[in-house]
Amino acid sequence: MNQPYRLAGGGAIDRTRPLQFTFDDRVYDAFAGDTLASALLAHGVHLMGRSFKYHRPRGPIAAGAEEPNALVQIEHGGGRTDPNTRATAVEVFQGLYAHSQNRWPSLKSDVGVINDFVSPLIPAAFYYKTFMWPRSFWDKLYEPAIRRAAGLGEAPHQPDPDRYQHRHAHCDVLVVGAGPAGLAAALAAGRAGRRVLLIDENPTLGGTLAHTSTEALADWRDRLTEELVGLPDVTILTRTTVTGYYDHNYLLALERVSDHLPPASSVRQRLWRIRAGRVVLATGAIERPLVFVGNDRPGVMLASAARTYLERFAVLVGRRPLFFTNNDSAYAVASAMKAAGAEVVAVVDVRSDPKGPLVQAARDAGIIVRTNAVVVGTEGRHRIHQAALGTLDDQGVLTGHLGTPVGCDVLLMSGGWNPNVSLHSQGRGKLRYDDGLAAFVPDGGQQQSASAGACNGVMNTARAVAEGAAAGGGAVDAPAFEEPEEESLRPVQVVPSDRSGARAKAFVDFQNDVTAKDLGIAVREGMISIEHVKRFTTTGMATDQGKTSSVNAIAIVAEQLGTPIPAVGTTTYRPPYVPLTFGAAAGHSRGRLFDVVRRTPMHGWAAEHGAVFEDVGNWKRAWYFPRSGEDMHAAVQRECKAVREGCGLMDASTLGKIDVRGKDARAFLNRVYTNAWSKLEPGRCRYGLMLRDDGFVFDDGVTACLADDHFHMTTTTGGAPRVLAWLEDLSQTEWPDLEVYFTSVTEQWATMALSGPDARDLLQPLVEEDISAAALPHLAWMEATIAGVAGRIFRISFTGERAFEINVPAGYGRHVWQALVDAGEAHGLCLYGTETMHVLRAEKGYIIVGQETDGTVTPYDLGMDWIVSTKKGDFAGKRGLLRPDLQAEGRKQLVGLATLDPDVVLDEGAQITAEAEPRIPARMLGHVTSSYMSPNCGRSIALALLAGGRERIGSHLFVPQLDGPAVEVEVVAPVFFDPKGERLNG
Amino acid sequence: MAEPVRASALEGLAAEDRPRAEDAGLRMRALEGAAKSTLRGGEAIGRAAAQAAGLPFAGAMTQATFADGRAMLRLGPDEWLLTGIDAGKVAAALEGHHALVEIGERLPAIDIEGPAVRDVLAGACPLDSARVVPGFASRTLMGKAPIVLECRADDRMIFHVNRSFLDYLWLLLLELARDAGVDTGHTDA
Repeated sequence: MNQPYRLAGGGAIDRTRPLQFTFDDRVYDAFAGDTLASALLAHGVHLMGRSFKYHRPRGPIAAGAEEPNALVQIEHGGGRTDPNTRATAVEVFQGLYAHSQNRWPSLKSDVGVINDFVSPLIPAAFYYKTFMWPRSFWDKLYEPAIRRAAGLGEAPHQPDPDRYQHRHAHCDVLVVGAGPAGLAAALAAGRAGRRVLLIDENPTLGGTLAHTSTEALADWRDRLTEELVGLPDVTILTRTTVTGYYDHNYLLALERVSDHLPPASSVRQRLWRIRAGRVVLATGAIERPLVFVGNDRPGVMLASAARTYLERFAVLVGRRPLFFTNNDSAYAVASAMKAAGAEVVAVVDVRSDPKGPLVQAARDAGIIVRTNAVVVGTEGRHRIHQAALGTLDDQGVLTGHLGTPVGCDVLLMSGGWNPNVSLHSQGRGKLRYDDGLAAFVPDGGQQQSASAGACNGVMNTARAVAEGAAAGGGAVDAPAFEEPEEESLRPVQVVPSDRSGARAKAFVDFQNDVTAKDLGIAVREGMISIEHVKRFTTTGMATDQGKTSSVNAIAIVAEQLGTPIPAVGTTTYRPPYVPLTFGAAAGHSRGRLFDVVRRTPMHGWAAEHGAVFEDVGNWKRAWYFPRSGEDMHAAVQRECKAVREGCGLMDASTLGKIDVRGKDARAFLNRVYTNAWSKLEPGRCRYGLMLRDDGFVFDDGVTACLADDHFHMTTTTGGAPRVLAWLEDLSQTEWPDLEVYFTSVTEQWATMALSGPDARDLLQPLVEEDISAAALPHLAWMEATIAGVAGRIFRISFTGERAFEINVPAGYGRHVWQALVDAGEAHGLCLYGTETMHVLRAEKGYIIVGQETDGTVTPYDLGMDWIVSTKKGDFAGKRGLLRPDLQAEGRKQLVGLATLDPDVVLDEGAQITAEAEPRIPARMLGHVTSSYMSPNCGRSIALALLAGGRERIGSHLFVPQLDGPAVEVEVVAPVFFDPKGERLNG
Repeated sequence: MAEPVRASALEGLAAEDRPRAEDAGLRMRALEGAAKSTLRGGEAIGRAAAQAAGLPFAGAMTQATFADGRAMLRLGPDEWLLTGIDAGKVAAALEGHHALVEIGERLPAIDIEGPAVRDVLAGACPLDSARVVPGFASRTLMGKAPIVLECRADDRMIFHVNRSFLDYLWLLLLELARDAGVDTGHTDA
C-alpha cells in the first residue's frame, strides 16, 4: 500500500477490498468505502481541479455534498460520462476513471491560469459589459473562444446507455437526513405506526454520528438503526439525495442505485417522486468557510471535513495542520488529529479569550492557541506550504504581524456553522437571522413540515434528538453522552489583510470564483438588493447553489452597505439541491417512450404502402402517398387531380367525435354553436361553428342528428380534447339545468373519407343499403353495413366533391379500408393524405381552424355571416361578438390572393403590403394564411386575412417573400373552384 | 367478400416486444374489442344498471364491483365504466336522464398479473399504491398515458386505455416490468 496519509487503523473503509482507479491518467489504489476525494487525499493529492474563471488550482474544501471545488469528469466511454461530479461524493469502484476539468494541457500546468494574472481586466460582471459588441463577434469569438476558456466539464456527445427509473412513493412522514435528529424523527413516527420514508445521501445512516469514535454515540446510532430497520412501515433509502421540495409536499429524490459500482446494464439511478403527508427536514449544518486572502489554495479546507476524512476514511488530510477558527468546534478536530499523529502547528483564533471545554482539552493536549489572531495570507503553488498570521484588536482592525509565516501542509478553517436550510427555503419556508450562530435559521414554513436539529440551528446532539423526536410525533431517548458546551463565536465577515493588489483574493463563492472584492464592486456599482448582487457577481449561482458561500456573501454585502444582515435578507435556494442527471429526469421518457405516438387503425396499412406521415399533435397522419420517383410536390399534385377526376380515399380517423345525448341535447347545441339546430331532423347533418366567450372562432365540425335526443358531433383533430372539456365546463357550471351528457367516441370509430365523382359507384357495391342521391343526399347520414361491418355513412365533404365519410368500429377499420382499396382498383382510386386535403379544401375556400383563424378571428371576418343566427336565443360568444371592435370596419377579412404570375406560390405567413418596396416601417395590411399550387385551377392559390379585404377585391397588392422580391397579387374572392358548389350534390 | 377481420391496435409491435415474461412471474395480455360502455347518470341510474347487469352497485367513488368477468367501475359523481356487460340489456332497464355509450373499440385494456405488478404500477403511476386495493378503480396516469386503473386482486391490475395509447402503454409496462426484475426477454445489447 502506498497511501502515505492513510492511517493504519480505523475508518469505515474495507481494508480487505483494495481497489484501483485512475485520475488524470495515473492509477491510484484505494479501499472499498473510499470516495474519490478521500482516496486521492490518502495519497497526499489535494490538487483536483481548476477554478471556473481564473483557472486557479483548487482542492477539496469539504467532504460532502457542499463541495464547490473538486469537480471532476467521470468517464467510462460509450456515452457514459458525467461532468462536474463532486469528487467528495463519488464512491470509488474498481476501474473508476476520472479526470480533472477546465485545464489544458494538464492540471498542473494550465495555460488558462493567464486569467488569474489578467484578473484586474475581468472583474465581476465584465462579461455583461464586454461581450455586447460588435454583433459579429458573438458567434465567432465570444462563444467559441472566450466562453470556452471559462467553464467546467464537457457535455456528453453520445446517447446515455444507462437505465434510469422513476418511482412514485407516498408516505405519512418523510424524514430527510438520518443524523441524530432524523433518526429520532423516523423512529418516533415509525413507532407510532406511521408510514415513514427515511432518506440519507450517505451509504450509511447516522449523519455526524455515522463514523463517530465516541462509543456512547455509536451505540445509540446502532440501537436506533436496528429498531428502524425492524419496523414494517419504515422504508430507508441510502445514497439518496432529496433534490427538490415543491408545493403540496411533493419532493424529488435521486437514488444512486449503482453509481458506486462498475457500469452495468442494471438501473443506474432512480428518481423518487414523493408525496408526503408531513416532511421532517433533518439536513444538518454545513461549516462556513472564513473569507481571507489566499483561502482557496489547495490544502485550505473546512475543519469538519478533516474530521470526516479522519473518522470515516482513516485519512489525515495533512501532517502539519494549521487551524483558523472563530469558534470552538475546530478545537475538537485539532485534538482528534493530534491524537491520530498529526503535528498540529497551532489554532489561530480570532477571539480574545476562548476557554470552553474543547479549547481547554486542546490546550491540555499541548496544542498552541493563538488568540486575537488571523491568517492574513497563504503561500504555495499547488498546495499551501505556509501561512502568514496577524493580530486583531477588539474592533477587528489588523494591528500587525504575528511572527514570521508558519509552515503547514493544510489549513483547516471554521467560520461557524450554517444550518442547511436549502430544502426549507425551496419549500417556500421563511428564514430568520440568528445572531448567535451568525447564520439563517428556519422561521416558519408554508407546508406541513418541520426542521429539526442542526438545520434548525440546534447544534447540541441531545437537543437535536429531542427536537427530531417531537417532529416525528413522539419521544426518543437521547444518547448517554454529555456533550461539551461551546462558547459563542466571533463573526468576521472579511478577515483583514495587509496584502493588496489583484492577486490578493479572498474567495466567497469558490465555484463561481467570486471574491469579497467582487461583492464590494457590486455594491459600489449601485446594487443594493442581494438579488441584484447575486446576478451581478453570480455568487451563489453555481451548481452548489451557494451552500458554502451564501451566508458569507450576505454578511459581506450587509457590511458594505452598512445595514444589519437581516435587512439584506436572503436569496432563494433553487432546486436541484445537488445536480441531477438528465437521464434521471427523463426516466423512461426516451427513445420510443419519449412521447406517445398515436396511430390510427389504418396506420399500419398506410405505412406498408409508402405513406409519408406528418405529426398532428401526438397523432401520426398520412401526409401523402408518393409513388416511386415522386417527390412531395409531384405526389400532391397527382393526388389533387385524381380526387376531382375520379375518387380518392383518406384516413380521417383523428377527427374528434363526441356523443351528445339527453333530452336537452338539441337545446345545448343551440347554445354552443352559432347557427340554429332546432330543425335538424334525425338522419341529417349540419356544419357548425363554435365561438369562445369573447366571440372568436374556437372550433368547427359537422354534427349529425342520430335521434331527437342524440347527436354525433365532430371536431377538428387538434380541438377534440378542448371541445369536450368546453362542453363539460358549460354543462356543469353554466347550464346544469340542461339534461345532456357528452362522451368521447373519437377512437371508437375508424373514419375514412371517400371523395370524388366516382365515389358512389365505388362504394355502392360494398354496401347493402341504397346510398343513391335520393336515399343519401349531401348532409344526410345512415346506418349501413360496409364490407360486412356495421357502421355509419355520412354525406360530408371537405373537398367540395361528392363525398362519403364512412365510420366503422376501430378494430375493423383496416378491413373496411382494404375492401375500399380493393374495390377501388377498377375505379383508379387514389390514396391521399392531409396535404392534398389541405389543397382541395383551399380550392373551395373552406377554412381550417388554426390556419385561417388564430384566436382573433370572428365568423364575420371569415365571411361566414350566414352561420351566425340572428333569430335564435343566446349562444356562447354572442355577447363577445357584439363588442364594437369586433363589428368595426377595417378588420382583417378572409380573401383569396391570385399571383399575377400563376406559377409563383406565396410563402405561408407572409405579410401583405400596398407597395412592392414599402418604406420601413412598412404598414402590414394582412398576411397569407394558406398557399398552394392547385393543379385543378392550373395555378397557385392563396387565402389571406386582409384589412378591409372584401372591399379590396380586384385591387393589386404585394407580398414580400423570404427569398426574392415582393410578389404582386390580385385580391380575389376566397373560392377558386366550383364557386356554385354544384359538385357536392348528386 | 372477405369476412370482416378485427385488427389489433398492437399490430405494429415487433415480435421482440411481445412479452416472454410469463415464466418469470408476470402475465400480460391485451384485451381488445370487449363489451364496454360508459354510463352517465344519477345514482338511481347506476343502481338500475347494476341490477340489470347482475352486479353489486358500485356506489362509492373509486369503487369497483365484479362478478363473472363483468365489472362496474365508479369513475365520477355521475359516471361509471361497465365492462363485460351487454349494453343492450342494460339500456332496456334504464329510465330517465342518462347516457349509455358503447366504447369497447375506443378503450382496450392490458391485463397484468403477477407479484411484480405493484412495482410496475409505482414506476409510472402517481396514485398511492396503498389505496389501490382489490375493488379500487380510478382515472389516473401511467407515464404519459391517461388510463382507467382497475384493481382486480392484490397482484392483478387492468389498465384501460384509449386505443391509440395501447402500444405506448404496452411498451412502458414492459420497461417497468424489466425494472421490477422480470425477465422480459429484452437486453440492452
